[in-house]
Amino acid sequence: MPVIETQDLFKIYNEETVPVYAVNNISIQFDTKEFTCVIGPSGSGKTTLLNLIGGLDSPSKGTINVAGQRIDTMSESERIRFRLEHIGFVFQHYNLIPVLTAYENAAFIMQLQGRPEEETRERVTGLLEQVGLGNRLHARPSELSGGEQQRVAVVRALASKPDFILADEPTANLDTKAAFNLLDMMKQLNEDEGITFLFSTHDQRVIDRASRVVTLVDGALHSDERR
Amino acid sequence: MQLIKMAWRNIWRNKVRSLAVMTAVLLGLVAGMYAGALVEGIMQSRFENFIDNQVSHIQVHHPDFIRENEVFQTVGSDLRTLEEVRAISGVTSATVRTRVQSMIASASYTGGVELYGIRPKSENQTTNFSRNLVEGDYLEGESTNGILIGGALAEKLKVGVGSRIVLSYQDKDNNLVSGAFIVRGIFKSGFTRYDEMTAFVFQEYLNEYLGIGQDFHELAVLAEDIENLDEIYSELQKVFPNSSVRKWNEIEPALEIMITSSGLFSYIFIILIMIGLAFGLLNTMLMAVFERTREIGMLMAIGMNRRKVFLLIALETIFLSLSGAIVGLLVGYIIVAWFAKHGLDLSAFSDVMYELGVDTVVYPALNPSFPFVLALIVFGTALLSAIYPAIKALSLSPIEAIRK
Repeated sequence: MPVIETQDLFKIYNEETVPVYAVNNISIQFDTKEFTCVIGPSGSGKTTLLNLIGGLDSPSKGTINVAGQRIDTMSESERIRFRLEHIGFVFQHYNLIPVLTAYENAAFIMQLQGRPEEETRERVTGLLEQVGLGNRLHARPSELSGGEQQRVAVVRALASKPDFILADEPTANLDTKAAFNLLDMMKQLNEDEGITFLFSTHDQRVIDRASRVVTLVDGALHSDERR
Repeated sequence: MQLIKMAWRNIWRNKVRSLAVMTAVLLGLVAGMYAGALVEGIMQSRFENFIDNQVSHIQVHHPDFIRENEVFQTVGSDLRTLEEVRAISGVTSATVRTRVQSMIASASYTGGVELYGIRPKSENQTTNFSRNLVEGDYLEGESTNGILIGGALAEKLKVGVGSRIVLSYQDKDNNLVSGAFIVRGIFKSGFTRYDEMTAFVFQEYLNEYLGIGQDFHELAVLAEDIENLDEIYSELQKVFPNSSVRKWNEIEPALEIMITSSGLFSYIFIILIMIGLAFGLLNTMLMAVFERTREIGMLMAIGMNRRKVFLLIALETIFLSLSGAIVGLLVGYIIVAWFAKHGLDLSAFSDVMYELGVDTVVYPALNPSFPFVLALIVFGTALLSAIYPAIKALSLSPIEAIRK
């Protein structure tokens, strides 16, 4: 069953002058429990596609259905609410909140959602323990390594039980060991808990672990390989 | 709760910058509080001097006397009414006076004065006037031709204690009468103009010249508490149904305006300080927003709505200013309290203070509501200062912000 479905999707910049097709007529579906990489050279439209799917940007044309809802017609405030409830984000630069501890960062989205404190504590503590950070709950981001920070970011994205997780170059700033640890952790979450992951990446280590690889060239779908 | 925690911790991300802003708020408030308390103290001193030395709290006159000033326009002569007034609950003391426009002359100068015929004992109980004497003695003993004149008038007349001066005035039949008086004492009331234009003699002695027996033109009442004036005023209207009964602010409306506007001046002063601080706050918060562009973009990307982003920036601004404000109010309160107890000696400006009718040692007084109003002004300033940085934060595009 598709959790994401785009139909005739375009994102065109400078439409009035010299049009640039950042996303060029992409119709694609992503199913639940997939571990998908979107790859392609720089400027191929990977990040733009993820931004459109994540409701961070609006398409020039076409439709986007996420978790059964058209997000391309939503207002900005509806999209913010939708992102909060349905999508988990992992960013290249971790983007943790420096003044919050690992636990507080990981619990942040659940608290924004207004989930009960007890439920939040159980879920977040359990996940942080699961990713090997049970003893770093009260550490601030500045006290964590890059790999640990990214694991906190994954837990933050996961904690609220989103329909899928969008990860934009999640291993770009990690050393090899930290990258492998993170990928193993995400793969395990995908296999054990059926979490759907959608990556944009250049990193071969991520591509090697993907169950599906979508390649974009010049904003258009070039290939779609299922493994 | 989550936002409060974040906002509080965020203000400590750049300690030096935040402490600089807090210190500015603190100093601004201390200066504002002290200036406000000083103005209040000056006004209280002026008010007390005015009430004590001149008008008391309430006066009673013949309905036409204030406008026409005729000798025959008296309140009456029945001193039993004076006892009745003294018996009114809340009245500390009361006295009666004769008032007449007069010419005063010495060998060097001739001018007009308001001549008061007083009953020295009750006058002193009501206005404590004897404390203003800087030379000579108060009017005591048997009714004689002794006179008290102001220091400024003595200078004009070039007379001193023991000097002889002549007073001329009309009696009740409009005959011009003159009398020689001996300067018994020289007073300084704190109001130069008053000291130039006023003289005091025994009422009994003056009334004899005026031919009005025991009549009096003015009855002055001093109340225990200014809060009870309305009740005393009502009672006096019952005792003197055909006379004009006026409270101090009707007798001297300019003083009331001055007191009211002095409070306003304090608030204007504080608001001016706060406008300066608002720009400091705005600048600090703008820097904080620009430094955290990616973080704010991330917050919006993961689902923090605009209302919460606005609230976060507003809370940070409020915490930043209120932290300085709380310490500022405390320090300001301690400083004002110290000076309220020990007084601020402004004798270096004694001439100016005397012209203003204010004692040379001023005791700053803090209006109890002043700190709360200040806290509200700081809160309002913080909210206003937060608007522009918050709008800047809200205008960030999550995609652009995260890329930075």
